[in-house]
Amino acid sequence: MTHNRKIQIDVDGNKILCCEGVSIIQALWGAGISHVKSTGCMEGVCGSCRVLVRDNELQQVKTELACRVIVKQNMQIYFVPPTYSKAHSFTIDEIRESKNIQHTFRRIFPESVDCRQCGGCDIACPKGIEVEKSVQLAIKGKFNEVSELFTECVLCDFCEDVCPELIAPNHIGMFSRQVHSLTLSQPVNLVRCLQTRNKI
Amino acid sequence: MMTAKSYKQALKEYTLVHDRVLQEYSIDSLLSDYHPDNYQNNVKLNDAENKGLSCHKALADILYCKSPVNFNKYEQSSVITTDVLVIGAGGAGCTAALTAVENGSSVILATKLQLGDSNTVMAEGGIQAAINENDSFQKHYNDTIKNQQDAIQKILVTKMTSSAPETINWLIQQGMQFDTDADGGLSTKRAGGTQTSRVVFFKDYTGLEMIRVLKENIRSSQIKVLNNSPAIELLSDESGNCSGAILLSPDNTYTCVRAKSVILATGGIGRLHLNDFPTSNHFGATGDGLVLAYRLGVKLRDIDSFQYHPTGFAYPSNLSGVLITEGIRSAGAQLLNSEGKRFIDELRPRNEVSAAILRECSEGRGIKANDNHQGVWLDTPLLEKLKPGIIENQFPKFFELSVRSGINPVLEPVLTYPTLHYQNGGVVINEFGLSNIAGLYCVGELSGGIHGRNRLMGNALLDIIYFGRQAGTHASQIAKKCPLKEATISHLKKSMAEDITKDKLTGPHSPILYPDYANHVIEN
Repeated sequence: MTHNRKIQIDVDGNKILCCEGVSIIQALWGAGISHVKSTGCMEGVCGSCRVLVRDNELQQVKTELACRVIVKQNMQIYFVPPTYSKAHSFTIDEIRESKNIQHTFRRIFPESVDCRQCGGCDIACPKGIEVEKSVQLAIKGKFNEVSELFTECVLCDFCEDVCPELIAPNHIGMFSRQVHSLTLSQPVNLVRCLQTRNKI
Repeated sequence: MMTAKSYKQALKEYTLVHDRVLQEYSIDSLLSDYHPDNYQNNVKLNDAENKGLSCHKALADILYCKSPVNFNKYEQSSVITTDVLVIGAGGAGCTAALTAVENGSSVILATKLQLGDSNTVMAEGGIQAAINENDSFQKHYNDTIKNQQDAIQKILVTKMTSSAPETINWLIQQGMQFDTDADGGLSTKRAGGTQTSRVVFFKDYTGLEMIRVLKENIRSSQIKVLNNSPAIELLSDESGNCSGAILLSPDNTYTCVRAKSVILATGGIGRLHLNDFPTSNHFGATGDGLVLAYRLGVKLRDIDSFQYHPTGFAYPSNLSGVLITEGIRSAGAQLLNSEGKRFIDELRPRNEVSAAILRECSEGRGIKANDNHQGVWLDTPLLEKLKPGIIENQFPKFFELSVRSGINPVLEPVLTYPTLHYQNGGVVINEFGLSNIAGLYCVGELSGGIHGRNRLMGNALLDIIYFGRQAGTHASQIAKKCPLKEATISHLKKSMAEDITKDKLTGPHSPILYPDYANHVIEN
């Protein structure tokens, strides 16, 4: 082990002695704690290991991905179960066949116009995405820009959980990416290759 | 092992040098002496179907374990029925489920973790497809089977490579984005061991982009997703055909799913840490599908062959084993030993590059961060010098992971070491993903015969989507024609009559579901 010093952290209300310098999940395992839920890729792309974290020195509680947080003395941690919402779902066919993408957007995301610009989604995003700006851009129909801003989204669903207007910015991001993808769906080398193949 | 140079010292001595010449090196005995597949850790399987087949010892240990099924719980289980049951919600599983539901089947998609939790979501490099004018299906096929014709089932590779452009098109129609070039075509890069560029990609987030799209589409479909529901045993009819599976529900009861077809897409074995290597794999990669299928009597192949990706992070410890995409070497990054010298052509096939790194470390030319973490340098500062901005723009995932851990790859080289990455072999399948057991499909990393004993970058993502679609379609057709079969655990009863009547678990059992260091004990 790199670090021999033991520290104390608080996980879901339980005090735990663990090694320092490792991620929350590695710390739990190293301490002999059983931890199999809220664990996935261990590198920050699956969005499964959602936690609330408070550093001892600071007041603020942050939303994070546990695999990316290095434990510190007296850190408080609470694992947040997944949300499993079915709201705001859409199909790419709806987008493809839409005669007016703005109308389709408003129909699927009616709450979006009520955005209070509270900044809660920005604070909640563990990837530092400009979520609130994306909602505002989507309302204006600038889906390609939103698509770019949401490049690194891992669908952890924190922004959806914290929004007081129940907006689901994560799905607005995915909707925008699919709108954007339709403008890129005829790449020349692929199209030529498929056409040649179909001729045979 | 001879002493390696310390990380601090090696970092101090590092200099940015253009045009480092690669000295001549020998590859005779490189693989036989240094590749972990040749560490002599294999045994021969003894079941009727696979008698004499060479298998890694750690894998054989779990294949031979008992079933965890408790007979009383089984008798009290609830029963649900469906046309198609998909087990495993990564790229292959999600694709199979979407394809089956598109074809009109009722589909249940069960995962022991959450929808999308998989190795797929972590994939970085991209997908191979012969779409460029200077390329052809023949070249793609030749690259795939090169030096390993005997380890390949030719029909599988023929179908997969010749359908690759359509596979990419299917993904685009699902809403997936790929990087494009100035001419309005899909950008391509060259995989190690191939003759031309044909890997399409989305930055170094190809897997994340793919899974995001599949997840959103599943969300709005009629697929019934069962999270936190590991499959602990398959169900069979009197003839030994597969007729469903037993899922362990979140409330610890059993749910028996009777299905006309079962599609196993449970991924790899990285979390078994074969030969004590760190792994690039996600938490759930514990070979569950291999165990379940094995118990039903499938034929396996090449399960003594595993890919060690040359470049995993070797430092700091919270990143140990995490993947650094081959794309960085495709772009021009070089590997340097503790003497600051190159020692291998960085775009040779992965088995050679990994073996070369292991040789450097073994012969005292490695760099050691501490007792656990050693490796060689990945010369990212030179890459940045040659192509300014490339790291942050084209490899944002690598950049972010490094910086968060206090390493700036633009300014300092990154310590790297081979990481257990992929199961090359697996269950023998036909062109529709069907195993030798009727009703049981095995697709994705679980299957064998496609990548031989050394997979190319970009062929795994192609494999999962292509065979996921094949299995989804075929399973749907079966569902329209065939009735639901009887579902029993008779395939177990023959060998384990006494064990399953006991209330307590005795002895080791499998599938293990989670690595042992997660400290989980299955209640029974």
